[in-house]
Amino acid sequence: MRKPVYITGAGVICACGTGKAEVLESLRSKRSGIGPLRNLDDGGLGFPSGEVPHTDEELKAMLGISGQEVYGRTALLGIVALREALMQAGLEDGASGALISGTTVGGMDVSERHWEEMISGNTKDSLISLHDCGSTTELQADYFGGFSRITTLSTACSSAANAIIRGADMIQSGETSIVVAGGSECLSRFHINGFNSLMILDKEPCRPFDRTRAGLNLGEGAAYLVLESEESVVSRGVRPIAVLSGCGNACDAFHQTATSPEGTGACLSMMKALEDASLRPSDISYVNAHGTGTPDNDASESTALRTVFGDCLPAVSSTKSFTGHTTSASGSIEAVICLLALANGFIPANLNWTESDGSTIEPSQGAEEVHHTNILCNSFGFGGNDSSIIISPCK
Amino acid sequence: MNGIYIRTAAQISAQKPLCEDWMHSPVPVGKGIAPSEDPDFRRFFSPMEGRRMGRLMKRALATSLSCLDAAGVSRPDAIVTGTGMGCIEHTEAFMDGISGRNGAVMKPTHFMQSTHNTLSSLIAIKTGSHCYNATYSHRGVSFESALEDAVTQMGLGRISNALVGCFDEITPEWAALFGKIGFAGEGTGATVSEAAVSFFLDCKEDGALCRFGGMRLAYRPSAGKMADLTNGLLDAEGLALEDINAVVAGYDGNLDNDVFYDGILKEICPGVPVAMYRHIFGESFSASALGVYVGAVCIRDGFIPDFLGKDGAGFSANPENVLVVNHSSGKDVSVILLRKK
Repeated sequence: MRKPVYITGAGVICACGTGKAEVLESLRSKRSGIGPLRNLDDGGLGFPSGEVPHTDEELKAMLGISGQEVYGRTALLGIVALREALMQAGLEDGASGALISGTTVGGMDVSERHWEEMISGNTKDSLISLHDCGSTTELQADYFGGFSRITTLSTACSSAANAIIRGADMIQSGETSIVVAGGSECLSRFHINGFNSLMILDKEPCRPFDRTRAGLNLGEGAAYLVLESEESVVSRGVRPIAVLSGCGNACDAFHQTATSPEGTGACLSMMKALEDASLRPSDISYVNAHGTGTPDNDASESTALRTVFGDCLPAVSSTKSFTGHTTSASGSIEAVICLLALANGFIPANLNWTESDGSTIEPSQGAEEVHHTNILCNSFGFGGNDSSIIISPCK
Repeated sequence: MNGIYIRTAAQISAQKPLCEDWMHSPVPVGKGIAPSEDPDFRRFFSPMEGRRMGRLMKRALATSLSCLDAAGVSRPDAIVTGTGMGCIEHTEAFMDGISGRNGAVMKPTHFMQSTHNTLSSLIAIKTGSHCYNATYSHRGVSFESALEDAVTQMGLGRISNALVGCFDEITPEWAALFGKIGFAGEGTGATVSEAAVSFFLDCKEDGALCRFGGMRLAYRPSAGKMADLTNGLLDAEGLALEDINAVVAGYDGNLDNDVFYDGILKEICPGVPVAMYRHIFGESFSASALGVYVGAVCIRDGFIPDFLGKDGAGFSANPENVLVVNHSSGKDVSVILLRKK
């Protein structure tokens, strides 16, 4: 029997809001955060992006970090989201829990700005030490000071989802009773150029599942969930906001960056999550799709959704039309969006959709006054690292 | 739950690859950079297949396939790996492409192979494994993070075996940067190196290298915390400190690094003979995987070579219980227990 994993706190920052209240407001008023870049110099590429509308200096000021201290943007975004999540759970310093964070960019925004100096040996040591993924998690943990265990997941665009899955396992195995899990990722010239080299960025706002979809818009942000065991919830006397009722991780094992046309990995991760939660497909009231807006992903995810759900396909939408594709953070940002949908009884819209081309499902245009049973959230990454989680109301 | 066993292990490092020749005739390494000695990869994939792979991908595939072959398994139940820095050769190449340094251009392959999970996914693609697949990138304890994930899942009964590994490579540019920040290489006292290490874990005792006896990980442990955790680890196995034959620790010749080991070992296992390995394998974010490999091979072969002994420490024959201790910048600390039975 699966031990329950409770969610007792959540925090988020993304292009359409800093904090859950702002994100909720944007989702319900169908206001996308995608637009031209204002902070990052992308070398003139000009792709629309889901950039968080605060400079590094503004984020530092929000957090009381002095302007002199060197922090990568990934860490700053992460700290903003962590702070909200911990506050909601009543655990200001991390309370000796574990921090499992997903990121791929890590501190690369810093190293790419100073690359020439780094390579020529003329840079400050503190900048070099910020480059790798783990250093970002350390910065985030050290801001709060109370985490007794930390690690970093890096499975590209499913990093945050896999961090949540690892966190759930740690609770179920009894390794720890509190885990704060999620992901953080800032926009970087490195991955904007990288996605551009793969020719999967759209020059227009992305249109997930639409006939005219032509690629994704990158975004940035962070989100974390506080996961707790039943014993911890009872002993602390806190009221959980939801249950993390199922998790699935599978590998497409098809190609380094492309997805299999039949969506093998996506299918398996959804089925594993349903099995883990002991739920039938008909028990799901909403799917927050990976839905990047690339021709291949949306077609293959649609095939997988049809395979898994058959005749009982629930409402599906991709909220990347609001946030952009926040890569390593997308799994947790979208998990928070699912929590908001669950708590407020609505289905977030899939913006910019007009018609399907037959290869894709028809996504939801948004709905209010919905009674959710269980919500499934998909995150798929390069390398076919596909993960799904299920969020359910507290009984 | 049944015991967890390390059935097979394989390494590509500064020592002779895919074998245990280092037990008898270790290759001496200098104080600067000690690059890995690559095996003949044609045993594992065709030159055509290898053409598009970076060095680290080839090594990860070779150690993984070695372990699976030796275990007689074609598809594991889980693939969990770690890498501190990922494929830095290709990350650098793409970085150069963006800045146009030395006339470099951006190549999509370099971008695709710069994400850390390219290694785990390559192993999955090559073996056709749709199973659980994850990658950890957490500095010097990336390996422990991967190992612990696999062990948790085995404990929960979700999988009955796992392929676990850790992989890091070095470039002249990063070697210089590592030297500059005092991690390893030029001027630090430690040799900067590379490592690709894989293990196949399962629940069958017969023919295994050793049994995995448990592990503990902590971030910025307070004084006494590691001793408490280690005592808990030993208690759970019904062991006392006197039962530990050796502690394999990550001393690398860099005083800033070594001083942490002095402190940790004094706290958790005073008086236990110390075995080193980074003086022959070098230092990298994947080095702790080599520590577990060294411990496991010594238990299987029934001896710990004298040249591993720190400060002339000697070791009793047939080690039965070995601790492997590692830290990363003095912040993350890990203790792993390996047992003969």
